[in-house]
Order: sequence, then structure tokens, then C-alpha cells
Amino acid sequence: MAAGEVFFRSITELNRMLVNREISAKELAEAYLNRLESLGPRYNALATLTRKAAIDAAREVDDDLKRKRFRGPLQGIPYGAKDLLAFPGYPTTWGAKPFERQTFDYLATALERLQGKGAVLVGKLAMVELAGGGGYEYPSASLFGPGRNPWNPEHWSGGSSSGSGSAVAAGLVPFALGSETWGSILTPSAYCGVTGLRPTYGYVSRFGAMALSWTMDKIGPMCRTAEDCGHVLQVIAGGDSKDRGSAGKSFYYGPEYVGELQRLKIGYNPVDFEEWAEPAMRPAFAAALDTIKKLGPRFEVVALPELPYAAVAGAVIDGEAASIFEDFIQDGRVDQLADPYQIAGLRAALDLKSTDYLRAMRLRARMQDALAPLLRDFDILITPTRTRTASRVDAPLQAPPSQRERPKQRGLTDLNAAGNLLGWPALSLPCGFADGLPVGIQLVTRPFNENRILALGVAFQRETDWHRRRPPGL
Amino acid sequence: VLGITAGNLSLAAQQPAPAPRDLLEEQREDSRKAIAEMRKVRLDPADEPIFRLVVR
Repeated sequence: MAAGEVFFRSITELNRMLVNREISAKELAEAYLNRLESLGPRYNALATLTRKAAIDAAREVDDDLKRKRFRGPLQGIPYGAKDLLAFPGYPTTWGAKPFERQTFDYLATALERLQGKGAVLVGKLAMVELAGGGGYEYPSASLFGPGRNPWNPEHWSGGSSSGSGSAVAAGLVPFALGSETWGSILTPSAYCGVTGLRPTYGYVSRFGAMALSWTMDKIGPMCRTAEDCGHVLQVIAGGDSKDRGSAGKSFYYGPEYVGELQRLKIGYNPVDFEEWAEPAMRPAFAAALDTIKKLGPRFEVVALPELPYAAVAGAVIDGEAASIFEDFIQDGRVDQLADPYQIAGLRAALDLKSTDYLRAMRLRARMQDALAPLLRDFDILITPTRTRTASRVDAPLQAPPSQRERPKQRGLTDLNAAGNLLGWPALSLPCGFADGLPVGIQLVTRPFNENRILALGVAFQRETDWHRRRPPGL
Repeated sequence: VLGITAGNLSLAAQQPAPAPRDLLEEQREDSRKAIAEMRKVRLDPADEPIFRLVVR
């Protein structure tokens, strides 16, 4: 087996090759290390190559495989991690100039769990500085430059898990870890055409990860397929006394336990797909909804109750990020960030009054009560992951919306903010292209019911090949 | 010497230069708008905040 034939294979396929000894873990790690090193800079995706640690880990895997010590589907699989996860011996920059030389002498729990199952970290991946907590205006808000999209490098890869999205899309790693506070796994997944899972809040330990918002941060996988996301979540989820937000629960990937898809009740709103989505994206969404309908679940139209989801999410992040980075802002290191708008955002966040933060947290409790019936009545909610494709790398992200009329109904458009505020899990699946750029559809479900959205994702990917498409020239 | 008069200046050149952006004020204004939006929802004293998110 030539090393070059392994890129773009799923975790399951690679693991089969390793177990059958068609390729060694060291050969696989070297192939990915070389590819990440040579192509990573093209997309500004690479923060640090972890070559020595990877080769050492791969040698151990080969030794285990020789002795028939099998540790599950991730054994010997190379991967990348967003550069906010601590990995001793290598920098953890948080994507920000002031932390360029920062190192930690401990290992993030999520990486420790992957290490325990034999997965091989080949690189730390680029990200938006400080995960974009102050709000940023340009994709260039990163120590590594703007994340470039493998489908069109003149367009953004999305953020803040920019490198994780583009590295998986370009076949530089079989999977990556990203993190999401408000959109940072799902957005780059949709923009780059990969499958991304935002797990339930508290499922995956954040120990060793940069904190941006204690009550909203989540770590999750970005992969080729829904099945791969399930395998990775099974390894990284689980209780951790070192994370105060840990739910103390394990996850077992078993989409077969979800039962017949025909029995699922799905909530959606046509206004999201036919009015909020950019016109060029609508055929892809229509085809994706048709495919899901043919799988048999019942569809009903639903809308979110009118509440200020985005305002609350913004206030929670402002309040917590300002507290976390208070010294950094006060002592002026904040001025070394790349994006002036983000610098101003962090400074402004210091002015948030405690009563306003508490108001946001009280509204959040109100939302929890108001939205509970929705997830009792529906098994899955479906919306576009994003209603626009990736913008150009040189265009401001706060650009005014296109001239077309703003839809009158909200539908489920606030589900990105609401889902993050309430800690709900979500899966983004590639479902087509618009103007040559990927389009993603989002499945959301009840906390700790990831198997349900993964089962539908696996079934969708059995009927479609969007997740198998490769960017031009790769 | 042909002098520059209002008549031969381009229309754009006659416009005053745009004021430099005050990004801090822009961010504060966004924050004020968000707070105003939150204040539209009436809360009772019994509405307690989530101090730690426990998902359910």
C-alpha cells in the first residue's frame, strides 16, 4: 500500500488497514506528518507539527499491534488538535501573538484520552486568536493568518477552529479536535465540507483547554463521517474531576440502538431553508431535506419561541471572557492581538455590569424552561448550519447582509445561539455546494442523545457522497 | 496655472474624509443594544440565574 493512498480515508477504513498490517502506524504517521507539514501552510492550518511525539507514539502502537493488543478504532490513527489544548513539550498559542511561546507541562484530558486509545497527535492546528471571544472583524484575526478554505483558498475556512476544519477537508489529518463556545465547530465544518459534532455541554472534559466561557465551552470532533465522530466522541467523552463542568457521563457509540428512523419526529422550518439561506444554497438544502424525508422520519414545522438568544449568548461570553482575560486586558497585552475590533471588544467587555451578566443568566434559565417542550415533542431539529457560504478572506465578517429582503419569520434561525446556551448537541453534515463552496445541514437533539443525530447522519451519508468529495487538486 | 476650483474637483474629493472609526465605542454600542434587547423580557424576582449550566 502506497502511503499516498491513505489520505481521505475514514477512521474505520484506516484502522482496518492498520489491523490487517497493510500499513504500519509509523508509516501512516509519517505520511500525514509530511502532508501536514507541506500543505498545512497553504491553508494557514498548521500551528505546530508534533513530529517526535507522533513517531514515538506510532512506534508504541506498532508494538501493540504486533502483540495483538487492540485498543479500538482510533489505535494508530493520526489526528490534529486545535491549538488551545495543552500538550507538553510543544507550544500552545491559543492562536494569539502574546501567547506565542506559551507551554504547559500537563496534558489536556481530551488528548490524554485519545493517547490512551492509541491515537497519534501529528499537529496542533491553527485557530482564531483567543477563539474570537472579543468578536473579530476579519478572518486574519489569528497568529497564523486567515484560515484558508481548501475548496477555494480565497475564501475563509471559518472559525474559530479554522485549522481543524481546513486540515480535515484537505486530507492533512483523518480527524481533528475543535472547540465551540458559539459556532466554532459547526461553522468551519460547514464551510470546509467536513462532518463536525458539538457534543452536549459537560460530556467532554475541558481540562487543559483555554477557557473562554466556563458555561458555554465544549470540545468536539471534526471528521470525514458521522460514524468517525461517534468513534472519537466515545473516546473523549467521560467524567473528569479536573473539569468543574463535567457531567460525569460516558458515551457509547451505538447508532443501532436509536431504533427505526421512521419513528423519529423531526422539527424544521421552511423559512430557514427557503428564505434565510442564500439563494445559491437552496437547491442543496432542498435535496438534503428530500434525502432525509426518504429515510422515513415524520416532519413537522416548528419555530423557536421569541427570546433574545443572541443578546444573551453575547452577554454571557462577554462577562466570562472579560473575567478570564481581565489581567491580560488591563495590562495592555491585549493590544498585541491581530484584530483591532477584537481588542476593542475585549476592552468593552470589561464594562459589562454584574447585573447585566446576571440578567443574561436568568434569561438563560427562562430559555431552558421555554425550550424544554420543543425537545420533548421533537427528536431532532434540522436547520442550515450556516445560511451563507464562506466569505472571502479579505472581506469583513460584519459585512452588511445582501440587499434581499429580510425574512419576516425567525423560524429556527436562532438555534445556533440557543443550542449553545442550553448545551444541546449538534451535528453538521456536508450536503452539497453553492458557487463551488460547501454547504452544511445541522441536526440538533436532546442533551446526551448524540447517538440519535449520529444515526441519522450515518444514514444520510449512506445515501449521499458529499462527505467523500475532495477539494480541487487534492 | 490651472487652479483647482470646486468646479474641477471630483465629487469624491469634495467629500470630507470619513471620521476614523472608534472601535471601542462601536463595541460598547453593540453591548448597549444587546442589554436593551434583554431588558425587553420581564423577569420576576423568582427567576434565578443559571450559575452552573446543568443540561437537562
